[in-house]
Amino acid sequence: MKKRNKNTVFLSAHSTDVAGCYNTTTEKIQREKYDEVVKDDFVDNTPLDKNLKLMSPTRMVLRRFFRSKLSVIGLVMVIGLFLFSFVGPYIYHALVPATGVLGNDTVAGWQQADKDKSGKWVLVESEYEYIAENGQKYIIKQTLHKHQEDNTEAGISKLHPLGTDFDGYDNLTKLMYGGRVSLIVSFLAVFLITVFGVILGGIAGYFGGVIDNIIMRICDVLTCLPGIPIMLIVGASLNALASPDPVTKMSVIEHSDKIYILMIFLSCISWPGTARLVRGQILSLREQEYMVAAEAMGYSTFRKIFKHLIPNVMPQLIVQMTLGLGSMIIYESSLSYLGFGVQPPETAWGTIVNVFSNNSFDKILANPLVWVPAGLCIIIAVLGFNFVGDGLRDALDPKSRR
Amino acid sequence: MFKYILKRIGISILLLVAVSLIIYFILRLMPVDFVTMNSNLQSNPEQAEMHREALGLDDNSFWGIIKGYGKWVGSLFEKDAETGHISLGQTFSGSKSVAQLLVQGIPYSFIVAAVATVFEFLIAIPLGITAATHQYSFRDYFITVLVMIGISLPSFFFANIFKTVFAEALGWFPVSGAGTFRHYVLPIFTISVLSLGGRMRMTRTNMLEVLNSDYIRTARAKGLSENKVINKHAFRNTLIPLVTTLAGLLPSLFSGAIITEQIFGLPGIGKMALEYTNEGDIPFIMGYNMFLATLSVVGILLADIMYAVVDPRVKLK
Repeated sequence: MKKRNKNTVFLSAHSTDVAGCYNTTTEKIQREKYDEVVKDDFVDNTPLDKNLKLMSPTRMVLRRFFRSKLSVIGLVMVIGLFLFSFVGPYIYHALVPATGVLGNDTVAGWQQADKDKSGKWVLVESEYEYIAENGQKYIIKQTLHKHQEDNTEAGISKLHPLGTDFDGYDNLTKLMYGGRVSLIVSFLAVFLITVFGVILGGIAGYFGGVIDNIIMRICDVLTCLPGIPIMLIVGASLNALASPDPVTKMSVIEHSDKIYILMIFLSCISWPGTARLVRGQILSLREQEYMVAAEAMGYSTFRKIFKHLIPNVMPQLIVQMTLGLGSMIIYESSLSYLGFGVQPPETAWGTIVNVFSNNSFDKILANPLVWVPAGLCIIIAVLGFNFVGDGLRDALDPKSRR
Repeated sequence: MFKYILKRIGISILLLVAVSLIIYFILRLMPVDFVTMNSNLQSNPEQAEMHREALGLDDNSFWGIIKGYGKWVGSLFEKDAETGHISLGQTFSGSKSVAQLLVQGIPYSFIVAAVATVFEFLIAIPLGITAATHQYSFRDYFITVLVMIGISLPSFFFANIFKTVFAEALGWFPVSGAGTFRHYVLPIFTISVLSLGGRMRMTRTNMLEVLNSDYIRTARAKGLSENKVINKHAFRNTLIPLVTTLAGLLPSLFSGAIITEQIFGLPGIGKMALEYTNEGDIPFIMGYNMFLATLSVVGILLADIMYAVVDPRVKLK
């Protein structure tokens, strides 16, 4: 590594990025060829060797990205979680058919709404007060061996690789379907934030003047809005709307839709960051020569903004989106945890961790399989997106030479 | 400078008015209100209507809401009968005024946030600097991964595990409440661990930027010891962005951590906000949110001023 860096100085007249421009299979061969070229270059003064190819910027970025171990680890984590949530249920259903347990031989595996109805013997303690004829009080304690319909808090078994929860739902199934909600919702929010941010930031940066002023003042106001407290307000009223009316027994919205509405609302108030980024970039880009050329070609405003300006903001946008995905997962799971998300039998990762709020401590500690995997999934997802985002930032930065 | 600050204060006031209008409209346009959320107030429709009228929630037309907003602004400056200070409005549910509730909750939140911030800075800055000076070494990777894990931990998961392990299983700390020193240990620990990562990443990035600049090369070239280069020339310049974020921290010092406070049963302002928001108590929600908005506006203003004070290259106009 050291040697190569030293030589960089000599070659820099010919290529801008020495580390990236050699497309050979192994490092060793690359270095040997490299030394050859350096020699040739200075002895014969011939142009660069023909069998050396210049890499396209995309390949260079990819190469820089995959050179960092952390970003590869992050990518594996993210892809793994996606496969787990979206493909996992099918594999799981194929491998673990819940035959007979549901009283139905054709069932192909645990679904989200399936409780394990195989039953379970539990010890139920109860106390009675008995007053004898002579007026003395007796307390009679009774421990009954009782059969309960749902197989709750089951341990690891062939039927339940991660056991069942306090209601008899299969933990692994919950985890997979919960991942779907968490990932979809986070992607939706980041997508919306980016769309709003790019459109409004692009318009503000390109047109400037009054339009810019108006959009930026809206940005200022939205930045001052306290985010989480406002989400609490909206969440609380969505909760009230979703609970059935005492008279008509009907609810206005479904519990499963709440988190989507909440996240859409969240994206409506959190686009200023992206808008500022896009605007700042466009302000500097629109003064450059190629934009004058675009003007001279008579391109439409739409084309100038979205074909010539926005693509140049893409690198920063991609980084921000990836890092944003991580924080959105935390946001979503926090809201789910506070009870503003989906309700059983549907789950999200945050909802699963919510067992802490309404179960006794002994029960929680005795059944770590119910809540630990969900927490780990959240951490893995956020960590993965952060690693990928950091890796992308380094890879896309033209100044970084590693 | 003075003129600049005056102008900024004027803009800030306008900003706050806009923010309060938005929040008030959101609150009033929500399809449920205080009366529907409290089942004991709506035993029959007529009574519910009466309660609504008494609370000023009956007219949901545009002008009705504007009128309600005006009333709320007026109620801010009313005198509290109990304390004799400004009341900031009377809550729907209780006898206490918003100001009284805020004063009651803020100390708990402030102690936790302030101590956590001190820890955060004391730990994050040295770690960030070592990571930057030993870039791409094992130490750098180790610290980076550790910090990333810190950033990625969801507060509710982390806090609950802490509570379960240290408070309930081992019994070292009380499970919930406030009062003694031991009540604060777990919340402070949770908050500092969660905020460490971001601060450290920032320090590292700043330090790297400074280390790559020309004057550091000059300092090295004239033969200064590495110690002097880092501590005297580089570190001081990394402080510039850190000092500005210090002003930006103002809101987080007082706003309270909603989830952490709820989990550890700390009677701070965050826990209060969660409870009152679930009830739809408009005066408290408005008071709390405007308190936060004011803090963040002041924070931004302070950050800009600090920037000019610390960095002589920045001129405000």
